Amino acid sequence: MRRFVRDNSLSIFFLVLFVAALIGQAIAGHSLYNQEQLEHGGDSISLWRYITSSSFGQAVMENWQSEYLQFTLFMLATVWLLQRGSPESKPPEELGTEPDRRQRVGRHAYSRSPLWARTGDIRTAIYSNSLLIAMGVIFVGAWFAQSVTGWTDFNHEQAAHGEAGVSWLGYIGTSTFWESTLQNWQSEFLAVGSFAVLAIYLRQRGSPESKPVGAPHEATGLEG
Amino acid sequence: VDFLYPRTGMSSRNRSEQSHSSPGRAGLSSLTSLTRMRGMFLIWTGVIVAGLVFFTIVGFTHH
Repeated sequence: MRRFVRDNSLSIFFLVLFVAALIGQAIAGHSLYNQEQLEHGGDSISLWRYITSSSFGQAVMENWQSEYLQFTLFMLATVWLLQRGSPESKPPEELGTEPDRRQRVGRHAYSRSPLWARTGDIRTAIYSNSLLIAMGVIFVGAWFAQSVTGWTDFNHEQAAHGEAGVSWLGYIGTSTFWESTLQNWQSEFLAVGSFAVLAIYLRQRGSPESKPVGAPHEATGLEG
Repeated sequence: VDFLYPRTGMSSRNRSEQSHSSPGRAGLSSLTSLTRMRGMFLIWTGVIVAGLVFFTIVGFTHH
């Protein structure tokens, strides 16, 4: 058990934080929702009813989609784009998808390489992009879930004010949908862009996300 | 670039000595470690898929 915790401490740490933050969001959101209901003469609802509401679903999904978009774009951009001096960037001479020999695929694979890396056919092509595909699918799925929950919540608000509802496509074109989407995107782009640049001159000793403390500022692609 | 032993700083000679010292135990340990990593992979994938499916259904069924 101790070995399991040690070997997986990073993912366990973030799993615990994720669950705690989600529970906290549900409790705080439930309290706020009921407060607003009472102010408008409505009925309060149970915590479970709030968790299964489109209001809560939209709040969760709009954050999920932006996080997965951030990682997907960062992964894709760092294949071809350079930030000299950043540990998040590759050295200039390695830009691009790199030769098979360096990536250890097909006939260059190790005996212990994953099967789909060794075959050298379409399976290797798919496996070579599998992380990007998975993150992209999660992004699209979360963005779709955000649109559906937001749409239902939007139409509920419309009905409460005696106004007509809109179709899903109609909701996708509203400023409500794009405001909730872009407010999350801008913060992700700011964080990832600034991190790549701050890491040129600043260090965190022991972190693989940083260059070694004594590495020169101009060293690119080095990890601690 | 050594992808199988990244960041360890172990020379090939050291790795060879280590693996020859107790090949059975090393192999079993590696297998157990792989199983545990697969477990974490499945847990995280399950959390994400469950979240996406749950809130998509919520969106279509509950205001």
